[in-house]
Amino acid sequence: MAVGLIARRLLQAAAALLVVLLVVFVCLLTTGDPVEMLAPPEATERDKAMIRQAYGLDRPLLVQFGVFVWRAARGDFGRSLFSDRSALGLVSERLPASLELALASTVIAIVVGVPLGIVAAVRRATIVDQLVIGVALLGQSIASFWLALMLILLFAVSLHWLPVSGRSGWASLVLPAVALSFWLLALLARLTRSEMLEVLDQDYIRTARAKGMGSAVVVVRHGLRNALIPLVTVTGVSLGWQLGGAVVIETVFAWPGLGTTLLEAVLRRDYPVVLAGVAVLSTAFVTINLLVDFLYVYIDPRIRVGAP
Amino acid sequence: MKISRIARRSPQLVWGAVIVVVFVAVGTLAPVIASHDYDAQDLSLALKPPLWAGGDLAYPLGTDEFGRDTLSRLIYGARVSLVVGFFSVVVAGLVGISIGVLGGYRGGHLDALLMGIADVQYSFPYILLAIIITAFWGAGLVNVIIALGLASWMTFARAARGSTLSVREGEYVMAARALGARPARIVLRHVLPNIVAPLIVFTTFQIPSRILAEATLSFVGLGIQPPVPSWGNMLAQSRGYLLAQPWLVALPGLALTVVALGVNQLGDGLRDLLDPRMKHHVG
Repeated sequence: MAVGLIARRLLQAAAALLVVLLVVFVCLLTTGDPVEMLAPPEATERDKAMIRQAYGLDRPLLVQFGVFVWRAARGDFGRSLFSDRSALGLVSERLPASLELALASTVIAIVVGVPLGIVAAVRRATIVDQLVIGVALLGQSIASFWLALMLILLFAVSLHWLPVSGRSGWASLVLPAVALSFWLLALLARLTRSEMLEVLDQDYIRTARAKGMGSAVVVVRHGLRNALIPLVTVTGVSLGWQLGGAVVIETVFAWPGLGTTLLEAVLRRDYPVVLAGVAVLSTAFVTINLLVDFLYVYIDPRIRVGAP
Repeated sequence: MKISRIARRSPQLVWGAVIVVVFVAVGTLAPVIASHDYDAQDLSLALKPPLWAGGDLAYPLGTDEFGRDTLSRLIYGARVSLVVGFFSVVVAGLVGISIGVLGGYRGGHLDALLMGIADVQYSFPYILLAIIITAFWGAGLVNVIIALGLASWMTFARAARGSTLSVREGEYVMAARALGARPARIVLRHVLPNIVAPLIVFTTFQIPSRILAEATLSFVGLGIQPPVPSWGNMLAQSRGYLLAQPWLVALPGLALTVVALGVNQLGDGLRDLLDPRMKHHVG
């Protein structure tokens, strides 16, 4: 891939990050006065002015944003307004737990969803196909947090197989990861099925079959490989969505991730933490999207040689 | 096409339509159908079980911790889901289609800028954006509708832009242009009417995810505020009773799933009916 193209994608990514931060920053500062929340009820106007000055909240918005971006570029998002800890520190120590959950749920979705889609396409218009379509429809219609509660009820409360909440070992990862994975699993099954149906109709598949190749080889080597591109796009982007979706699932399972921290910070208007959280999440999304773009090159040789 | 033929060809369309009609009727007629006020409390009746678990006919689905009738609250909850699902799609549609048609029709730098903004917003999970917007603007019905609309206009913008690009070069548009019609008139009289039909089907697909998103927002305390019942805040309130009274948690979620399934089926069925080529390709 041309160096110019990579540079342009990197620039776009940086611009995207900046815009997301600007929007959240303006949202934060124009909708509530953090000083009112920070100051004790008995604080005088003078005390409030001091707090305002100490946190730099008395300067024009654009200056505040400029200062913020400059500091953020060096990893300094300020301190949490409530715990006096570094905002980035608070957020970063929670990121691994969220990533673990998002990754685990994505892996489950791929490992189950893609084969389901392939089987449905190969056994088109049979009961197996109907079942997969049913699962896909259900996955898109069920609220993940409710599914989480039902899984807790069945596997943790009734059967005592798995822990109700917390993060201690792989057993505690199972329920939140499964709950979070279901909608993506449904999406991947649906998408794989439709892509495979399209690919299996192609002439080269017929040729491969005519040459006497085994059915599995035809489906996987000739079929799946050509159906991969849209799947990679969706999987890549959805890893970001899973991080976002994890916010709610984390609160159901008291999972000590970024989502719980971010939600708490949003509710308390702890804006250094909100901004650090949003910055970390956006960086993760943007990085994932970039990696997906680059991954295309390896999957689809046509892009490497510059063909459309 | 006769209804019986449609039913034979696409049973899912019929199922979807039945569920949606019941849902809309229940939501619209909530005050007439509900046997109790959604906030009529009576602590002496708290946590009554549903009929099948030994409850009585006056409270067929039991009561919550304040002694409120679960069935009546579910019925009023349908109204909230209906309103949010419909109007948030309208907001997203108005914003998105305007931007998409503008970008698609004008092209050039404006188009690049608008689609660039859409791309940036795509890189951010929309439920998180909706959480941030409602957190700062405050919870409540109107803010939830606006937040969900603003967090998801991009999908409509892309669809509308694509359709506009394809009709922009049509002969009738060229003719209108040659006759000296102003761009606004061309867009309103010639472009919009020709792209609106596929967008309506597309819209149906967007409603379930809004209904689920409203429930999610209400579940984390940023959506519809108690005592007004929403299936999401009912779930949040009953979470603590998961062990003792599981039906309090099961029922609102079940209602949510059935409605989302119904609208999704209706959307799938409509698409198959309008575009039979797609039937075998998308499940």
